[in-house]
Amino acid sequence: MSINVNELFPYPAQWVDEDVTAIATAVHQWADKEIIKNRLEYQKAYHELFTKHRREHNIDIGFQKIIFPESYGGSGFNSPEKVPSIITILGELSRADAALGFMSALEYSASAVAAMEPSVNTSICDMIAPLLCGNELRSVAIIMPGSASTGPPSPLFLGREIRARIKRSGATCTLSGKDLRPIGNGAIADILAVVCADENDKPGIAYVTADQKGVERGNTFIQTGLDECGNADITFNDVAISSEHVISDEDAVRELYTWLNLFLGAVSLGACLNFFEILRNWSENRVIKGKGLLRENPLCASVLATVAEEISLAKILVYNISNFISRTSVWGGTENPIIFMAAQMFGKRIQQCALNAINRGMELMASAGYAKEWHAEKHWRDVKTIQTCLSAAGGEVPVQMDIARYFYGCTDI
Amino acid sequence: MISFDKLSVRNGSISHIEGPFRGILRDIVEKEIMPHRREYDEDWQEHRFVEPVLHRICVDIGIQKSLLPQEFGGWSLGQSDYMMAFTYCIAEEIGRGDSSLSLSSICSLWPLCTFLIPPFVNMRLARELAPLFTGGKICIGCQAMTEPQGGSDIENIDLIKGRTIQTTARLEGGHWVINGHKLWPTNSGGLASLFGVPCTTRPGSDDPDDFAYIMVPADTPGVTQGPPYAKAGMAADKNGDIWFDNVRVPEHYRIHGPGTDALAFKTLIYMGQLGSVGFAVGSLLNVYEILYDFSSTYTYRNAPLKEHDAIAGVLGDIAGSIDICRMLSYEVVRMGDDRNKPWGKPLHSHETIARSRNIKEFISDRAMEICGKAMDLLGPHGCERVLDIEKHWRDLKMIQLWLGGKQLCQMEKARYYFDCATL
Repeated sequence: MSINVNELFPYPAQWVDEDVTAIATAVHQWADKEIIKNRLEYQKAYHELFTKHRREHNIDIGFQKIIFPESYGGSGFNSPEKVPSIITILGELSRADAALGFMSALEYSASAVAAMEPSVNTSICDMIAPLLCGNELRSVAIIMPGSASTGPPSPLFLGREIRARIKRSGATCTLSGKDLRPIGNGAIADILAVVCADENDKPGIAYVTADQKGVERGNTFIQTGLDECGNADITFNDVAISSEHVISDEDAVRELYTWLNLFLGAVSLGACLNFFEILRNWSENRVIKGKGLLRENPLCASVLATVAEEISLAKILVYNISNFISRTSVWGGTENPIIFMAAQMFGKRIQQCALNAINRGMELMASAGYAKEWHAEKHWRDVKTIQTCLSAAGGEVPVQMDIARYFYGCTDI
Repeated sequence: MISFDKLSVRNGSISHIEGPFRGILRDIVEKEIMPHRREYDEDWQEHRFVEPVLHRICVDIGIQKSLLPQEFGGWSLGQSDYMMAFTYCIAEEIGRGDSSLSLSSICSLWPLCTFLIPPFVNMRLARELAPLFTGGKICIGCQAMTEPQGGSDIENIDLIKGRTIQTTARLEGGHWVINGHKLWPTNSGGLASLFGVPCTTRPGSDDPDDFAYIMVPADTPGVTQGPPYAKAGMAADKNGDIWFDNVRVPEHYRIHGPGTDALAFKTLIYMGQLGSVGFAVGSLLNVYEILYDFSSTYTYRNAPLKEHDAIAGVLGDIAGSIDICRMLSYEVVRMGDDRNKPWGKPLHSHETIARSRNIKEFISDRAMEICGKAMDLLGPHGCERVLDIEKHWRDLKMIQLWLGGKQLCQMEKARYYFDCATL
């Protein structure tokens, strides 16, 4: 098979810098050479090779620091027009392994809130850039509202419960919260971005390093997929942080949702593109009914078409969210409610498309669909894990409420 | 919480022994399987945790001898008119705890169905093989069907008629000499003691007379089992390669003979659907239990999830769908247990196979939707191993894909309902 999946699935290529297209091509080739063509070896020595490859692209190539201004030692991809380029890179990483993309996506989401123009938060950049622009591999965990809990009543962010609380005292704050569930990386993160509420129940985002006194991690738990992104609940026992490291702004929380939907959408899309390659290879080599190729059977071809449709739609939606963000002259900044709503609505749909594409494609692969040897099942588990981690308790319902609020002006839901 | 026993079941479908037997199985599931099922995923190669439970079900409870006639130490289940209800009850009850354990236990009997369910009975073979299953040691059966080049072709028996089978059986001096390569069957990967092997006596032939189903003890010289494959789920079920290299078994190990082997083999297709719906509904009943607890305890907008109108709508759909899936499962049971009634149809009939495939496909599709939605409702807890829903999700996907998957079911249905002549 000599196809280029990026060319096969249409997208607005003019939104991506030519320089980045060249980088993406290099990552594509790296993924083919180092991971995709050596899947079995990669599976056997997963932990070692994952870390090795993560270092290669994060540190050697420099993707870990990509989103920070050059003045912080970053690559300067902190302007909105660079966003399509960032998702292109994330998609290529995730084509190799969604867990690689997922870890970068969490880092980029938390960093973008602080580092993306026009409102660069220098205090938070001062805190996290030295870690993320250095020569050590770093991980970021994000704690969002509504991650399902059993505690006493809490302040709400658009219906979702905020379980982390911040108490101000002059130039410092204390952060508290028990057994909070991060989106991922809770067991390994160096930096934690925590959606919290202040004394007035106003939502905001606190940035804290995991080595702070009072930060306590629970046991690492096994998840459906994203095996290397070890997760654990986190407790904050009155952790002292600088007030400057808290963004007390509801719009910042909306913005964080926007970045997560965009970047994790790109990750699931990348996983889907590699699944497509696996499926295409299967369909052009598998003989059924003792005669024709699988792809030449009309029933199978109709399923193959559905897979391609779903991936195409996911790709268009990912690039459309990025367009909302990058074309500030049209849409303004991320504080525009349409951007939050679109990111939530499209983000949900991207994950559905990605999962449906893999689910339907696996139908044609029978046992090869669920055999680890073929790698399709890893993409399936990884995408489902991303979908559930991105959801609040209640699944799609909280996002449906966001959409209804925007389109119908609902105020009590 | 209403007991899942209250979910819809046709009273007439419940056999007289089902109630007490369910009680015995439920006790094992809740005390011995559920507390350890999370360990099974890591135990897929060694089966250190799995094999003792398998022994408990197959030997201590005695499931492995259930099909054999009473005169050979069995329960004569194969001759009863409640065999399918009984089999379904095992599949569902154990499936509630772990569908792969249920699969491994029940599929152990799968090859025996070809010669212990009337009208396809071979008493000589039953007498000869009975001691393997009644002697107090575990004996795992394996229906070694799929071949590397053919995938689900072999299950597409009405269309392909065995034409693509490459495992050959040659009669030589009172013995069948078998050569070929099978892969993926349940209970392979080193676990099986006895194989049921579909072969061809004339490669490339689509004459049913050339289809042979031959029993092969796993310790016969020339039989080699490969190690188990790594899979997405179903860890208590081992799957691997089996090679038959000039394997010689007595001539009477062919279950019936020309023509009849092919018909008896078709009963396995129905049995596969029956087991599949049982495993799937068992998993779904447990998903309902887990979801009930979670939605009663965890909150959205500071109230239990289940008290939010929109979330309750999803929960209602989930429970309603599970209820309907269970009703449909009992329709598969009824089809099978009515096989000897005046209005019944043989298990190998086109109608029984097409309609049971229809229900299996419907239930497996719904099961994936239900389990996927349940995971979503749990938010970031949905993919967490400790809540077990994600395990059911991985297992259910495999149920959806096996036995030829969705597309084979679609074709079977189309042929039956629309008399398609060329598909």
